[in-house]
Amino acid sequence: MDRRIFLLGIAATALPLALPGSVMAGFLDAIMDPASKESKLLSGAVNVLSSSQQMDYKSERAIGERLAVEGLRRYGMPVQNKNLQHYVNLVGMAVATNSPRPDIPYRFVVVDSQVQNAFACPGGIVFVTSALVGTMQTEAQLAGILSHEVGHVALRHALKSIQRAQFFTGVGQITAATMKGDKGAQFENMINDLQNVLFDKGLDQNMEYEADASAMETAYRTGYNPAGITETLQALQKLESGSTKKGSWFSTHPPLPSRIAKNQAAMKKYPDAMTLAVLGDRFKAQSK
Amino acid sequence: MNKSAPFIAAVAGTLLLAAPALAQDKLYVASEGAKLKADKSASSNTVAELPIGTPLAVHGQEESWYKVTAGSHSGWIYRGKVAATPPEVSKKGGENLFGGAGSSTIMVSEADSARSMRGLNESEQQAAKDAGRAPRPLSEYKQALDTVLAEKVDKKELENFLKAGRIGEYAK
Repeated sequence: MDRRIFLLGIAATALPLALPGSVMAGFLDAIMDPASKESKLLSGAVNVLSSSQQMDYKSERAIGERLAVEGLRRYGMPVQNKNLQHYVNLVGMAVATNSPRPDIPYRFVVVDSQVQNAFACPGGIVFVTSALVGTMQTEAQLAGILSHEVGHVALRHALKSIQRAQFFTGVGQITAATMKGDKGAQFENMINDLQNVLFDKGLDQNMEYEADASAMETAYRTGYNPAGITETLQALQKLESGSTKKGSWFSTHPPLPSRIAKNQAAMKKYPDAMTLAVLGDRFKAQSK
Repeated sequence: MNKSAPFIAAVAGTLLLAAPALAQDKLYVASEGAKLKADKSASSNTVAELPIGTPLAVHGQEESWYKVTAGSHSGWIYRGKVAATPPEVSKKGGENLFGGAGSSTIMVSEADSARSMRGLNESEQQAAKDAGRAPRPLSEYKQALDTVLAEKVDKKELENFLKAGRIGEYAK
């Protein structure tokens, strides 16, 4: 094990006890109140975010819900269309069943936004914008995008990003002794870092490639044509020049041509892809 | 060190994604709600419902189905339900795929709401200003999130949805 990571683990273990509640702001107030439910949940999360252990699901979900509120704030409220929301949940659950992590309760939501994007909060809350749904033509394409986001959740990409970010910004050098006073604000930075990753900067390029590969596999296992994700990327590529960049798929995901090329190369793993479900008509009827 | 982390992640990812090889004589159930069928057809009788991680001895493959034995049961399982390695189990999952998501837990208690709302409203005010509308109170976002979490799909409904779309094992 790397020594710096090891030190980080020790520092973080001491964190919940060493932090005075007064240095925390916003939501973290409740979390840092040692008696609160949130604090109990997250005291485990701090340890794990900073070490190589895996976080328990409840902590992961709690962080995800905090980020989901921010997602609603930044992108828009859920579209007021029960039929559409339920349909997207059916497609999402169909693929989640066959994803690399089929044992957690996922939820899928279409938010009212003209920005083309989809993103996933740790723990399984997946967002797709109404603009992106409008860009798609088939259920297999929707299944591909939802599988991609489920892949990020399953492979714990956002949380892994934060482990790295923390490491590189020097949070790892904090010791129990220096965690007093304003150093405690570093804790809140963790949530901010996650927001930055999910909503502004995007995940590491290799994580996107990994989620694409996972999406194709998951869609294929479910019985959808795994080309759906790539078709959606191609549709986005056509829109790219005239679209809003900020906070969109284009700013939070790697360049489309390289992803499309990689995905097309991966299609040879699925020789019978053309025989699998596409469902253009059902998608059109349900996504209105 | 950080060179090794992505490498390990990539290897782990590859293992998770590995498509079941035809020559494999041992596979694992890797999907929620996997059914062992009497014949290689979704409409045949269900011999058993197999939990995730169940090891399967493979006796052959025809079309999209594996002929397998799971413990004392023998039958056919759709190819999308198995993998060369069992999926990693979520630590203290507590819930399952079809479980209720409950309502949000992270939201602050009543006692803390005033202080916490101030933090959120600062950024909300900017967002509202940018969008040219009045800021929403925190309660609206919490309510929206709870509505999202309350959306539920049950197993039977999902099965009917797959059947109606002739998806996967229901293709024929």
